[in-house]
Amino acid sequence: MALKIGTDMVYIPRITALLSNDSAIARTFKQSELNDRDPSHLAGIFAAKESIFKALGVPPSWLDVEISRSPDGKPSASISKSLGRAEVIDISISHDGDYAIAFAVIELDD
Amino acid sequence: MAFKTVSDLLRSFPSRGSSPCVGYRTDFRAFRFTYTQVFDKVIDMQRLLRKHKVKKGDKVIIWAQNSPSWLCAFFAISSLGAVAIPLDFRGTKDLVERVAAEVKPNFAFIGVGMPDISIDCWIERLDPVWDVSSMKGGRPAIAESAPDDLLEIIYTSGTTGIPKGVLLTNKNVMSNVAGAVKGIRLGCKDKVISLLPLSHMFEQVGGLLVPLAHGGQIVYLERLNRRSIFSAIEEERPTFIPIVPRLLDMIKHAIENEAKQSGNEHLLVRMRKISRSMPLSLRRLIFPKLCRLFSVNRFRFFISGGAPLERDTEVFFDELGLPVLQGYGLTETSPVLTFNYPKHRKIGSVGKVIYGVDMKIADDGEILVRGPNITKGYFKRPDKTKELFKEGWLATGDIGSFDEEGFLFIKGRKKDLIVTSEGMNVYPEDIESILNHIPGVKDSAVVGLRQPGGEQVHAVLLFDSDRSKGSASTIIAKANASIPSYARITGFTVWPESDFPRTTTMKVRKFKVLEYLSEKHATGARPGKIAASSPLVRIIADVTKKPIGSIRHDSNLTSDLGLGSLDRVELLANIEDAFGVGLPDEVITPKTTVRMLEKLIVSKPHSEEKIKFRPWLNSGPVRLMRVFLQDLIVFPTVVFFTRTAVHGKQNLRGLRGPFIIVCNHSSHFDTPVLLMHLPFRLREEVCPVAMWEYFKVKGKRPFKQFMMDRLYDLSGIAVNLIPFPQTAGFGQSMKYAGSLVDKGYSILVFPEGARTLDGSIHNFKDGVGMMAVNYRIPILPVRVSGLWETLPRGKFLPRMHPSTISFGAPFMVKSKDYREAAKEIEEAVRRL
Repeated sequence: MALKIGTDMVYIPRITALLSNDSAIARTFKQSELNDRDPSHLAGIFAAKESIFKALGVPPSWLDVEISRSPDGKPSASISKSLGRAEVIDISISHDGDYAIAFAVIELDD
Repeated sequence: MAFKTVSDLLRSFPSRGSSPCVGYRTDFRAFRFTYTQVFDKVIDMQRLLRKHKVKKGDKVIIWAQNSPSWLCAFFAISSLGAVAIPLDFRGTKDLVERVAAEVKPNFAFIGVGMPDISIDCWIERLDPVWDVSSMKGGRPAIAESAPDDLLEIIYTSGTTGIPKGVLLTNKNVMSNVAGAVKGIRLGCKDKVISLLPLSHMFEQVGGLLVPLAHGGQIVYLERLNRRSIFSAIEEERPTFIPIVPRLLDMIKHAIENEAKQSGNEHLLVRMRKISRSMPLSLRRLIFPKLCRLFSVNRFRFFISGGAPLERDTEVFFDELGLPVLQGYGLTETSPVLTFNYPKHRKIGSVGKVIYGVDMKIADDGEILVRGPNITKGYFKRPDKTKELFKEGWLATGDIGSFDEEGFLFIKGRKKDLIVTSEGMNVYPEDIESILNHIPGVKDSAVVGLRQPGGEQVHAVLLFDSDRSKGSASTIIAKANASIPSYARITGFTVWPESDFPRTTTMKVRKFKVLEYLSEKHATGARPGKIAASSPLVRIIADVTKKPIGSIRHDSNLTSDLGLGSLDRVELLANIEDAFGVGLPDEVITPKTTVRMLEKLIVSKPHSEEKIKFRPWLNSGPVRLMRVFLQDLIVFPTVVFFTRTAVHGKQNLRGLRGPFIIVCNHSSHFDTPVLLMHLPFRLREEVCPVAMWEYFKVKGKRPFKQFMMDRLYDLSGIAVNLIPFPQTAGFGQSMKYAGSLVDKGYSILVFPEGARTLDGSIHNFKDGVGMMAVNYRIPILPVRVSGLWETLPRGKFLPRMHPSTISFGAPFMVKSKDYREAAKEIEEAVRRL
């Protein structure tokens, strides 16, 4: 058992550009994540997913991770079993200006 | 037939009545509008413009993707005598704002998907299609416009500098509409698929005004990727398509790829050799797969314009029996000057001078023209206008010569302008000014390098003596980041001497630079093999913003090309659009090279299980059988077990489909009870949605699967089922159901996904919202109760129990969000 961390930063205008590309959006975000198509919100989700992949040390498979928010705004993540035996302890997302950043802590069973 | 103004053309619409005018294909539907419906919409838009005090001579911007509404907006503007400013939907927001600052528009139509812009006038969001039933029609008031009145101002694609607007009058454009196709028989049976932006004069004349002037039909596509273009060609059966060389290359590549995948590569080459000796009209017959795509008795020709066509491409299509008619022209000549006619054409030539146009070759070889289609000049640019004309003739800036039969051949260009294979104009000085602002660059010369696949934007760099500021490729990447994708630098060279060759006025002698470059290419000074014309390389260059020249077969995507995680998503999505191959994210590892990716694309077969739809369920005999089956067996059985009280019958009076009929799901009795209480006309055109997985047997049990298939057939005959999978393949069913909606069928949906276990209504799934948003048809809410008691889930035999059914009033969903729309619908059903 090991604790791993991962972090990622996303330039928000790139997500704005990606929004016009439907197939790119469809292969990155789950339907539930797309209810709010605000670029900074999606950039946060993207960064959170990427930080989880980094912590796991696996290549990204975007639809295997789902980021959701509790009513008070705290993000949480659920990952599919295909990514191996691991549990997301916590994630945190932040925005400022043109950037979104996320940080993930996971527990990896080995 | 000759219309003098665009308003004259509009006046002819009512007489075309209900013949099809324009269509719009989305992922799931094909919307159609008749000439009368288009006319009514034009009048409706005209009313809106007048409300905002738009009058003769006022300027109105259109910035939107091609759509039926774009067409209506254009006609509405000119019917008031106002001036249209169509802007390329691929252009940047910045360009729109700069144009607006210059023309001071009174009104703007901006497509719904476009970004917000800040311009000082009323902005109307342009929805691609409209609800025909909401049109009021009304008394048309079409302004009397004279042929010399200004029709539109076309901004040629200026990338960064001050845009240049070409003034075009009604006479300019309409004389070209008549002159360009004189001698080609066109009529109301003709149908075009419009793929190029309507802000481009070539598409506006070839793909919009010419078909409409002959009562033909136009089809627009919501999405312009490979898959949607091919399915449009296959299903719409167009008679001709205006196209640019870039798209022709894409089709050529797709045909060759298809042959490669099925192992028929050599066969294709051999067949092409054979077909050379055959008459053109028969050639297509020996390529059976191609005949399915390009209907033998419908498809006539491609019209190619906008950029020079490679001889190879022209010959390729010619050998397949798909003639490509090449033309030549400029925005300033609205636009056609010469054209190859179907019966009189020459490969490699841009054709003969069209009716009404005068052309001569100046002593230095430059093509000079005059005629009714020539512009008056540029908007507010008297200096540029003056440069354009020479003793009453318009100087095209192109060098050309005629052969003895009068066919024109283009030899080169005098003007310092690059025309990409997409037909976009790139002004070198714009790119140079960006490059020269980057630290480390002393000066630069941007030239158009002719290469297979069209002209490349090639930058030649002159460095400061201090070269520590970064390598050439990072400088190019930096510049490309602020250049729109169509104009990006695709190759570069570092100038070996201390300065460029210059004229006495210190201007760079570009032809000397070009001479040097072509020599360098000839001697093969460049290391490594460059796959410049491969579409994959273009996609990679576009995503990574690296010059095409720096991408080699053995380039590593991650370490050499710096592919980030966001880039990877974009790259795979673009590959899916361009090649129709969906690759999972995992295929790109840190070791993946360009060549490996190319192999993956060729080897990957198209996955996803094909659902077997049953179009014959809607054929005459089956429908007749269904009436008997329902009236003699199904309904009497239902009536035996349950007596149904009906509420809200007044909501069904005089209803005309199509609808999405939405009902809660309590038992197998729902469908027959609902159908029984619908008016006969509506009932006969209802397709209930059924879970596809219900008819699928798990594991390998052929006999059971065979029986399930027959059950599917039987229930299909009884109630006309559409299978809808709950997971993969959902899109196929959405598309099939959409095609039934196009034919006027209503879809019956039980959006809870499964029958209830306890008699209560469960949450509606988002799928119904997706249908409502994409099909754009009204929802008819229905609620049943008491049927759960009659036949609950898990029971086989029904028992007697009374039931009720309530019909609500049809409504359109307000939200564009699938989940929100599903909620609206759920509430409507719960309220009943």
